[in-house]
Amino acid sequence: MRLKGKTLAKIFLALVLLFIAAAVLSGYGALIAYILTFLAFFSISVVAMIFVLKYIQDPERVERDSKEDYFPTVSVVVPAYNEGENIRATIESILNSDYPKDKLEVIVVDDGSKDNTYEIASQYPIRVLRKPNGGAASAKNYGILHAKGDIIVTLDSDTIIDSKAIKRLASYFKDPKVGGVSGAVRVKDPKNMLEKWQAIEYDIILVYRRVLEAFESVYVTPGGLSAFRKKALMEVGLFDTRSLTEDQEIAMNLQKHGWKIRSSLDAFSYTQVPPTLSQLIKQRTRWVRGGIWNRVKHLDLLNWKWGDFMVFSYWLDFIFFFQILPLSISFILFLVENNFWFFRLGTDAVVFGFGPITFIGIFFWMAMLPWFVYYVNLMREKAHNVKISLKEIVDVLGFLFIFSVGWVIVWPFVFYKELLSKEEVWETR
Amino acid sequence: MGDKMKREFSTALFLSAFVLTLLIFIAGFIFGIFYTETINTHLIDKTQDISGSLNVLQFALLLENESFCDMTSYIIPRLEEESWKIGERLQYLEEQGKTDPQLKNTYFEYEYRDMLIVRKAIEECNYPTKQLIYFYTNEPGKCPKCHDQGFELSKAREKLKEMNISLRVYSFDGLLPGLGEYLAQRYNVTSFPTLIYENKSYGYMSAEEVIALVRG
Repeated sequence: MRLKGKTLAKIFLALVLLFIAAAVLSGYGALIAYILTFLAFFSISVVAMIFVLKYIQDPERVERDSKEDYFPTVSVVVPAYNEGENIRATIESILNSDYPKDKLEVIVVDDGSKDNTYEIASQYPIRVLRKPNGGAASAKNYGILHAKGDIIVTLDSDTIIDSKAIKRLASYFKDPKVGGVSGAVRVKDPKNMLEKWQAIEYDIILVYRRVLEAFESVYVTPGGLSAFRKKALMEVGLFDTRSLTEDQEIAMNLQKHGWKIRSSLDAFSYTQVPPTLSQLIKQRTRWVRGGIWNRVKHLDLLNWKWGDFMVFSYWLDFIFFFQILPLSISFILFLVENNFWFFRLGTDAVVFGFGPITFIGIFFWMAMLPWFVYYVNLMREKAHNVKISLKEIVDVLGFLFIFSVGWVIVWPFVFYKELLSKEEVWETR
Repeated sequence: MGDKMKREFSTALFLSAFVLTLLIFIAGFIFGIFYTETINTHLIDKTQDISGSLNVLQFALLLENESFCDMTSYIIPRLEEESWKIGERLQYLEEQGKTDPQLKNTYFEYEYRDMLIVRKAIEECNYPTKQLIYFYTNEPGKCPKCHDQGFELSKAREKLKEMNISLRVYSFDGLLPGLGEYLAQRYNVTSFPTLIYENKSYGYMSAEEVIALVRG
């Protein structure tokens, strides 16, 4: 199935613009903005509360460490495209792994690089395969087909793996029903504020994913680090090369075939994240497009037999997009209706503009703040054995009130960009 | 292949999340209403403050005090600025649906007294200002152009100020029970927006049209 994504996006954006115009012209713009904001924010808040309650229900399950008691044969497959700068560190981190060397195989798949990726990788005692450029998914598939291990670990070529990660990932496969395990992908050396906020986001997502495991509803096995049972991959037809987010698509496919997916909080890898807003937007646009495509492909998951996965997890990325969309629309309506007042009233426009919705937002986010701090602290302790500092708590505040809320402002520009963007084949970040 | 694991519905958990979130939202909503009431009370207090200054002029007028004209020259400009600020904030709150009738009626009463006293100042002291009454309503669907009319009047007032022409705009919600409704009936207002200038009625007018009208 191939979707004409650009056409759909154009139609969708046209409908959104029509809706905004109709709302403003009708004189009901402010009321509509109010209702949209309430509905969108309420649904986002219910989702956040579900995660909190599930965590409280079984904190031990969420927080438990991985075991290190099962040692199947493992092939680490690293797809690489023009990663001459980063591949060396990635390979060396894998070779530093404490996994039994006689059960470990490393395969780098050079996906038609135009730089010296192949030459650098060939300097190491690993297998280096070469193929014409075809994208991350095709490179992974190529490596998997040539792999000898029963377990396949996939890793991005700009990502460093912790020495204990492979051992911890492998232990989950002792359960014969487990088809995939997502690793604990964290951000490598965040430097600017945007990278620090993403680091917080990644840590929170790790805990969220562990909670999703309690729902048997993990819907993504991140490209930054994941492990799969080779038999399971072959059964589901490997990675879908048409998907922009094949790491999510494979997880949904595995779920559909009845395989369990586990999530590790301590099989660490460290990846680079977009350091600028424009690169971040590019990445997130790809994620959203990929997420929608994957869900449309697996529309048959909309069936009561899938339990919590259908009711909750299937919708998460999807519903997040459609929750943010009304907030963006209401923000545009708010700006259109009130831009005059910001010039005339200055700060009074903000102070007088506070109302029930504002305080709902403040109350709810303040209720979530301790949880987000707790999640980030949990990951700090697992990774570095240190507690979160006061400065980092301030960063979490910034993440909550600036980074998270900022997407409401950014999304209209993403919609515009979506109209103009071409289909993407390869993205490493 | 086939479903290897048992799928469940965490119905109780989802319901609990819904209820807890709703409780937090209700708490925030109640606090928000309390905050809005506080802002309304604040504006009522400010209106009553400037109303006190107006009393001085009113007494001078009633007592036919010779100092009435002198007093208008320094009291009225100050009241004009303060009243305009309150009026703008009131309009902003109205557009967000956050005002209450008590605040509006308090402000309208002040405006009406101000209008009558300034009219006396114009007649007896040649006080250099023009007066325009603006009837509006915020009831949904009854005046889509009222939103723009407010902006146009603000623009016109400022442009006239640059030309050294003072225009006092008195805004009344023509459908609000009380003074607003009474004045709308008195001036035979049948649609909104309606502008009254020198006892003539006009519909929606742009800033340029208002300026042309005032300049004659």
